[in-house]
Amino acid sequence: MEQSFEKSKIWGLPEKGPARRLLEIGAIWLIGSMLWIFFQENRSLGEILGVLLLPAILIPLARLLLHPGSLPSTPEEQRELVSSTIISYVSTFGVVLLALLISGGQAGWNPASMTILMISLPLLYLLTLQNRVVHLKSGSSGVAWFLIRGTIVLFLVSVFVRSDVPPEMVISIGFLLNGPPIFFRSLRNEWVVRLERGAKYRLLGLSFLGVLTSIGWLILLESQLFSWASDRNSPAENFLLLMAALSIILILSAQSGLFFRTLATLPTARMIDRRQQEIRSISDIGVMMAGEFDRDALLEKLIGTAAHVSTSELAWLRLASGGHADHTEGAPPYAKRPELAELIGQIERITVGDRTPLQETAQVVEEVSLYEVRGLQSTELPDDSLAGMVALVPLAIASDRIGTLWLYTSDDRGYDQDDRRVLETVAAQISVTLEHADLLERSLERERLQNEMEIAREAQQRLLPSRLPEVDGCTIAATSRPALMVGGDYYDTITFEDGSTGVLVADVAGKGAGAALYMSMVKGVVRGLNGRTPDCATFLGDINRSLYRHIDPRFFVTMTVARILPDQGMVEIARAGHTPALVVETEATDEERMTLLTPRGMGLALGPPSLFNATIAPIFRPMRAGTVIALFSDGLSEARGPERGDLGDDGCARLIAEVLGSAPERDLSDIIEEIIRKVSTFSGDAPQHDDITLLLIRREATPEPSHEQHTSEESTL
Amino acid sequence: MSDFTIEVQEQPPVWTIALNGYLDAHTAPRLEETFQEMIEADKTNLVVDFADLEYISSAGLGVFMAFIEDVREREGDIKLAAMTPKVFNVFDLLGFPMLYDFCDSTNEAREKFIAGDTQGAA
Repeated sequence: MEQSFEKSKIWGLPEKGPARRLLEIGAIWLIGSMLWIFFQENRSLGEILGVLLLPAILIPLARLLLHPGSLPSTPEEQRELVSSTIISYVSTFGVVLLALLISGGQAGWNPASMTILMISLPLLYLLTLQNRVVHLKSGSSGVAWFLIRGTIVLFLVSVFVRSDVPPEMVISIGFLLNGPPIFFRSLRNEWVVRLERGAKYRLLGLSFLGVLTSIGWLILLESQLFSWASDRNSPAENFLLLMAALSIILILSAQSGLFFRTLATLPTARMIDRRQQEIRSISDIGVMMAGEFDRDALLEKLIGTAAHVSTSELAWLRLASGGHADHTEGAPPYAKRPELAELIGQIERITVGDRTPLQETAQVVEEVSLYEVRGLQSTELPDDSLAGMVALVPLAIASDRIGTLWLYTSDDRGYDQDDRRVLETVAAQISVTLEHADLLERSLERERLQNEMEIAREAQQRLLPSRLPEVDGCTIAATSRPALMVGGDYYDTITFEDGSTGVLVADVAGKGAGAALYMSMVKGVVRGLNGRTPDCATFLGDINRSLYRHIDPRFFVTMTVARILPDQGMVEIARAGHTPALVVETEATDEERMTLLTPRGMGLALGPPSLFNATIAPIFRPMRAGTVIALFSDGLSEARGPERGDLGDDGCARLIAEVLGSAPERDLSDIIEEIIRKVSTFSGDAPQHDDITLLLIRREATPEPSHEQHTSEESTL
Repeated sequence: MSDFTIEVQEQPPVWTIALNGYLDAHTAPRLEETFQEMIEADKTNLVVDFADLEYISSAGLGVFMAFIEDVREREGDIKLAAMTPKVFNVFDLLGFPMLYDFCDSTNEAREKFIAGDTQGAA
């Protein structure tokens, strides 16, 4: 199966239908005539050459039938059609000429060589054009085939049964039966309309040649062959001659039909050409858009296309910017000859009344406006002035005029309605292309910003300590999640002068990039104070001194700092405007389990040191095994539920206490994860509206050996 | 988050800015704009009516910080009036009562202006 399929592909055989049938008839005919020639007594060189040439011509021509039934719709197919027609004629005339030369030189009209010609001519013809002219793809093609077959039967009868009927009469009947249907059928070949002008002229010539040739052959048959055939030929020979006559009749009818059809389409050829050009230029634009990402290069090509389709000598683009005067964008103008470019300025300055064409057509978004121009001075022709026609094609997107395509031609014809229509189409494509280029540019810009924000985010994450120390029997864990790519929340650890460790959570007012910048500033101040500050109040006071009047007052900072004092089993908590700190005693009874601590203290950078320092009042709090202190930002306590409003400080405290109580021994990082998860669940689909930071310190139950004394102290607490 | 409206009541020499809804990072620029316009028009005796303000974020608080100095330099003041306890709590946590004059009602604030008290609490 597969092999035979492959074979049919190689030979280009049509799979089924009339095309295949015709080939089969041709093949049988060929084999029969070859046998017949070989069994003749006196074989001339012409006969042998003819027999050898036939298959050499037939096989390539048969391959032209590779696309059975296809009508030419693309330029390639049209060219193929015309070239295959040319090949068929050249080959036919070649064979005829060769046979005439050889046989004529030897013994005049050799009957055998004449027969070869009679056979080869129509066969070649049928093979090349049957698919498009004789064989027709509609109901009437069945009728035509029925008539052809009927005629063949008639011929057989006249030759073998009623040999007394004169051949001229038989041929006339054959002509009447087959000529008109094939002629009218051929007249209806719609594909001719779509041919390009050049192809139409070629086809016109070829069909005229076909008509002439077939008339010539008919005369030859009439004047010589039948007088000769009637007395000497066998019935089989007569039948073949009649078949040849039938083929010539088919050729004549089909070619004359084609001739008149082509002739009739010539007046519209220019329009068809233009439409083809339009279609091509639009598809060209599609290809350009897909392949060209550089906007200026794209514009240059588009301008060239516009000039080409309208046969303009000059074309240039002016894009409007924000409703102000038009200006040229990157793309250079198209000029058929470089010297012409100097006309652009002159053309743009021409006035109609007191306004330039551009001012006059500023509100137009659809129609092409035409202006005649005269008196253009060119260095090319210094003594003469140029005249011509200028077209202004508006470029618009959704009724917004975005620019103008200018075109100039010196052709007397100017721009006719077809030109204007094509230009409108191309201009629409240019507008869309520009819009796409802009969109692409914008999306690239967005991507670039996105990348930069990603870098900023990474940089900011690096400002947060990657590891939190384990100090004096306390474990610390923290997380910070900005609402946007970057945020104003911050946590850190510091060392005080006496070596004790402190943790802090800070929040710069607002969110996003502005807050993030100030957050890194706060980090700088905090790091600068590391190891040099005696206690929480001084620490906050120093930060306030550094920030006050140095940052935009809108971006004030809040902070809570907790200093762990293991020797006293205490923690010192100071607050600067920040949300309250939460203390959870995981081993206590429910009533005294959680406490929100709100030490007095105003926000950082809100007031001068004298005022600020007076407000700071740290709280000391015992820290036993199992005590957990939670510092968080208002992003957590103000997490918004879809309906229930804010979580609130109390809600937040309950949520944290609940998670801590469920598994007091768990890893702190896991606990933080779970708290954050619960807050997300509370928020539901609502977007995180502020940066969220949570830091937990837990006094571990297992005392370290070196602190045995403290452990006993604690146990008494 | 755009459920935020600002209404200015002109009762020279006092101007009342009534806030309604959510004042956060998204809506803060609108309040900034209002303050800017008032100051440019030299209307610096300002009372902010918080009665209908449901929520204020840190970005919202920042707006008041941005203009208080300008207003006081022009011998005016921003008095914050009629806050719900919830909103007051936010201001209180930050220590704003040290910086601003908080009044129970807009009338009280207005009377204070008329009595010539343009100095804040601090």
